[in-house]
Amino acid sequence: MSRTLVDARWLVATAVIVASCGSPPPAAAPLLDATSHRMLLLGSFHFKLQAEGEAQHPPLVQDAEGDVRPPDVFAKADLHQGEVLLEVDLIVVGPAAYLKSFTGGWQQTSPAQLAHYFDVSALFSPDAGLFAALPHTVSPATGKQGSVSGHSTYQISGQLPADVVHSLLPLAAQTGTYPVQYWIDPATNSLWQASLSGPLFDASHSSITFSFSAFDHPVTITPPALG
Amino acid sequence: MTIQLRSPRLPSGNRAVLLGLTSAGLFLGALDAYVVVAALLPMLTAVHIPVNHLERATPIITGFLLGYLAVMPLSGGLSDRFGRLRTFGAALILFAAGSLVTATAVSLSSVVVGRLLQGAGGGALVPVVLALAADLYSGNQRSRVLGWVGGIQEIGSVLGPLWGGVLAASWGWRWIFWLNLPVAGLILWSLWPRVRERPPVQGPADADWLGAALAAAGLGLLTLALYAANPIKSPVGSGFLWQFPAAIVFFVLFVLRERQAPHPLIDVRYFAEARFAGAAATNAIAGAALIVALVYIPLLAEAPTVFGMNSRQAAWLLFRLMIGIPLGAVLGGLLSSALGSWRVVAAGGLLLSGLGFLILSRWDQTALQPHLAVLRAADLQLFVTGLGLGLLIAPVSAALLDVVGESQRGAGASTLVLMRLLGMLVGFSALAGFGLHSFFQATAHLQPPIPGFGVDYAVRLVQYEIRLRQAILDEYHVIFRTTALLCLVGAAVAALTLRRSRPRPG
Repeated sequence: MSRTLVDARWLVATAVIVASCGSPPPAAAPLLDATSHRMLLLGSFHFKLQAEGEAQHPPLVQDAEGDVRPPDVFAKADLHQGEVLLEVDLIVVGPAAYLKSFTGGWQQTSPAQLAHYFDVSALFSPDAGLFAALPHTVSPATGKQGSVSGHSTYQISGQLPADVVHSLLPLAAQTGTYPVQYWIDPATNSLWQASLSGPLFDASHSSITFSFSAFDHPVTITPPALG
Repeated sequence: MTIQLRSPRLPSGNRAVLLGLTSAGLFLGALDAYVVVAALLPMLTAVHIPVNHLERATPIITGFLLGYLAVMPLSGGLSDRFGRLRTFGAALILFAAGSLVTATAVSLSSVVVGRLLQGAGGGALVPVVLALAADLYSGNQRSRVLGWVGGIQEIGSVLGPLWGGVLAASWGWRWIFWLNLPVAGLILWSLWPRVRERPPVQGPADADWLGAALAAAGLGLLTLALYAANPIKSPVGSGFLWQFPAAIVFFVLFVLRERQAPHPLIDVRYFAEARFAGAAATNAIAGAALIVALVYIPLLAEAPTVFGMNSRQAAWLLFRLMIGIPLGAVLGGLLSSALGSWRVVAAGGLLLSGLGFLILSRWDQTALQPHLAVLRAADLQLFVTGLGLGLLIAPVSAALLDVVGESQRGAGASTLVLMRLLGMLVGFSALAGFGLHSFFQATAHLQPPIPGFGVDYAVRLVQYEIRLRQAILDEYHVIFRTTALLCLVGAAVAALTLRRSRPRPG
């Protein structure tokens, strides 16, 4: 009995030493599968997204930020309207959706109509959203280790097939693949940042960066007072 | 092979070259004073500020004015101590640094900091170049040269909005600020031997730092108090109730300090003289009226549901008003001499502007269409408004300089610039919050239609746009009517105070 205990201690000690000396970089494909699984099971999270690029027809959504408690969402988005940006607030609670624009208060609408502004539900949908897209990454490769907003991560680079990207960004009509990068903490299978680039909105090069935080923090998303 | 650089730097003592180069710096600073007005919307978009938060454009305007007002009164005294050209060089470097910060800004705060530095540098240039001109020339020549320098400053500020609007529409707004760097660099390089020189005799250290700090604190607090960070809720800042009284306390302390300071920034005793106080107040009111025109005419022109112009077109529309100012200034000088009266011309100018603003306050989306023969009525209305603001320049300056005397001409001219900018800062800060607050109140229940298919959506969208446009126009109407009223008050002040002390010579 005592002998097994000693062996077990040795094993733990060795594991600790190996871990502290730096574990080997994780294999990319299993990490993406595990991360997809973990992110889809999150009870809540905060997201930010920002579009960059020189597109002649800039993306409708320039930047957005909000809380998600799947499938409910509360988000603020800046939309391109000609030369200026227009801020809209969106709430999705169950089957109901609400919108607040430049003037007036909250008004009730449907998720389908809300999608004309910013299809935030599609972005984080369990079937075709960003987290669901992770295992579809083609030829993923583990890159540099680094820190993203205080989290130790590995950078995973790969390509996303056009049909997967198209379900996230309907304007991305190119066939073939789009370069994608993920920043993942392999210890917790957490996706802290992701960046997608290519001809996302028109033929010119653009990119979208997503960042995530506040995993499983308590968030309440309730229907707003209308008017 | 080495190339020998033969320096075309100025031969020392060539005062025309010296004044020319420093005036070029002054022109650059003046050009940038109102350069952003037609480029505000693209600048906001570039730093990711949506139109829902138009109030965040306010610090881009007020930041410049604040920097200008805080530093300008100090720089004359500093140039006595450290030498005109050293101080000029430092001011131009500050201006160029501000241009660099603005040109590379990716956030609103860096735009505001950049504009603040530009204002500080640009403001510091004015008294230094005026003092240099007074050093270099004497007697009859001096008045003429000071007039020229003032004219360069004026022309720069008239051309600024056009320059900014055209650049923003053709190359992008960042070029407005990038282009300052090579020009400032060239001026500095040309003057470098003189900039590096220590002045042979160091003047007394007569910069009133305490006074400057009190004034800056008061102005900063006042701007903050009037900044409507949340115009849906309030037309002023959330800290108004303590910031506004605190600002007044600082201004009272400033006046007390200036009465005792051995070398005051502003000789406040002059304000006891009705003509001086009247001239200062008239100029402040003219400044407030001018900034309203400068900011709101391009914004109205660029509002998507009103005229829907781009930066260039908006800048040209504003130019109709701006070109009236220098023409009015020349005419005002001639009329003052011919009529032998300052108050008639100054009050007449403000009445004319007031009338102009009253007409502008009735504009709607069709305002640019009516023609009087070959002239577009709107162009004439804008021109007359600017002409009125120009008319008062000469009589107001003459009345103020009559109080301070010829020997204080530079200080008098600086006081006029300060008062105009003070009027701009206070007038714009108050009206911007007030206007946006009334707009958001008017549209609190105006629901935009949500996109869908069919005729119903199209009809409701048109109805929404009509009501939105009306709300935007209503906001402008209130602002322009208030400005018209302000001009009438200014006309009354000018009529009551700007009397001549003695019969006109000759």
